[in-house]
Amino acid sequence: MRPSTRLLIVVSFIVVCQLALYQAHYRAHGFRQDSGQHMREIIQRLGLSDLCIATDARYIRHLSITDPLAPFMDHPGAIEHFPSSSIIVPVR
Amino acid sequence: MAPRNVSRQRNILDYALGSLWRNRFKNTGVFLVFSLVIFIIASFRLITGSLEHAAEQLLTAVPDITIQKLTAGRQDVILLKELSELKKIFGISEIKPRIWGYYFDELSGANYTVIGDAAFDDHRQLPGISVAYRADDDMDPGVSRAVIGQSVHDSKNLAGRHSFSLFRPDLSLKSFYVTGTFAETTALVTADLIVTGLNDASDLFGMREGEMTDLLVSVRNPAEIETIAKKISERITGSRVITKRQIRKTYRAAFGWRSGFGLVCLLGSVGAFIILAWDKASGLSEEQKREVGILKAVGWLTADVMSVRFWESVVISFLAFSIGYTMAWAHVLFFDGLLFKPILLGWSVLTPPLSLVPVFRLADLMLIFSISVLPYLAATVIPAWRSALVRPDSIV
Repeated sequence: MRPSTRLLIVVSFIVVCQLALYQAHYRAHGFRQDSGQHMREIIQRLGLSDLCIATDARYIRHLSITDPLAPFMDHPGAIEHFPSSSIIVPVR
Repeated sequence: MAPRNVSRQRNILDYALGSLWRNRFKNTGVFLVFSLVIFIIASFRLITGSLEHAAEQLLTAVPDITIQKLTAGRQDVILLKELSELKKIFGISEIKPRIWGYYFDELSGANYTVIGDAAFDDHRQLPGISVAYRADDDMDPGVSRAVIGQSVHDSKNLAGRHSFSLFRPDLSLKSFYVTGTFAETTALVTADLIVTGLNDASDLFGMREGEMTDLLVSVRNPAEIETIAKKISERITGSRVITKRQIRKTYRAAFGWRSGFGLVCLLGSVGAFIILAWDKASGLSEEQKREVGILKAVGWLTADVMSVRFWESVVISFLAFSIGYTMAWAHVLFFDGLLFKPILLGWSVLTPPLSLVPVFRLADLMLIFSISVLPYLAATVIPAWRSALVRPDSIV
């Protein structure tokens, strides 16, 4: 068998894996759509403003309605130090 | 002509694959590093993309306007009497007072979000939300009711029990009877919630009657939200008015390459590619020179030798890109971003069961491709050209 034929088999295998993953993603996405409607009801009813991703600091838990200065209010000289905030872009 | 050219390129590809196989130990190292770098940056982008998508889909239902009060630059209570001033503004359909606060549980070290809802004072259940409620026939009428999130339920270790207590500021205990628990499928917004009546939340936080933390305003015409928000900020002195547009804008910009971790991923990948490029450009080994010399002696052209090097780079970079991206997709879809989860959750004691669904975005794919594959291909051009210039009589 020519090396390029072997390469074609490997590439085909990767493409099949990607298609299978996309199919799995499609199912997960459908499941999220179902629970999404329920979550939107709760958000609307309770007036929630944020996703619950990290709960370590209040300015991470409620990103959108938190004062940008909040990290410095914890105690004197407190710089922002929570690992979860390293994934969040600084507020401008 | 075209089939002949395809056949020629296929022969060159066969030779390039043979060449890669002969140097398999070195090439496997490059391939693994390349795949790992793609995996890391693709995982980061798929996780943040998933969160952005969830925010975009879910936060369509946030309040039109949220009003808070600031005193000396800090959030303060807002008095119910301010409502009368707001009711005069035309276009507002509903104003809902709310108590929204945090409770730090010293026993578990967890932070809960406590929400006081006026409708829960009057009803036995939360109207408009489908929660599996428990029959409360055995409930003491003097005890407050609460609906809690799944993570709170787990943190308070409520298995078999239906009540728990929290401390008021004066350290007296306030008991809550759990009438229902939010479904785990809604944990992305409810995991740390304790929803109780407005009066009960006020009692828990030791607030005076008529004191609230926010007012939630609904506007009849969505086009008027910004105008009404401006009017509210003029009517209530020291108010902080947050509109639906601002909340959604925050989440559109919250996760990106400019975040600390995003920069680490990006700079890490750029650093890795510089090392790869350096390795490629750092000169030819004697064996490679000899190989090129023999090829040219048997009639290969400079363009043919460059084609071999080009195909080698294409095979390595495209395969590494495909494998790295596929692994990243599986990492997010099946393992919920397991490797990055500790960073996402930080020092959270309550760990919401994050269920991430990756979102395919062509722009992200092109971005990752252009910062990984293209620089690699570009970095191999000069070494390929240099290797192709070897004179056969200098070697053979």
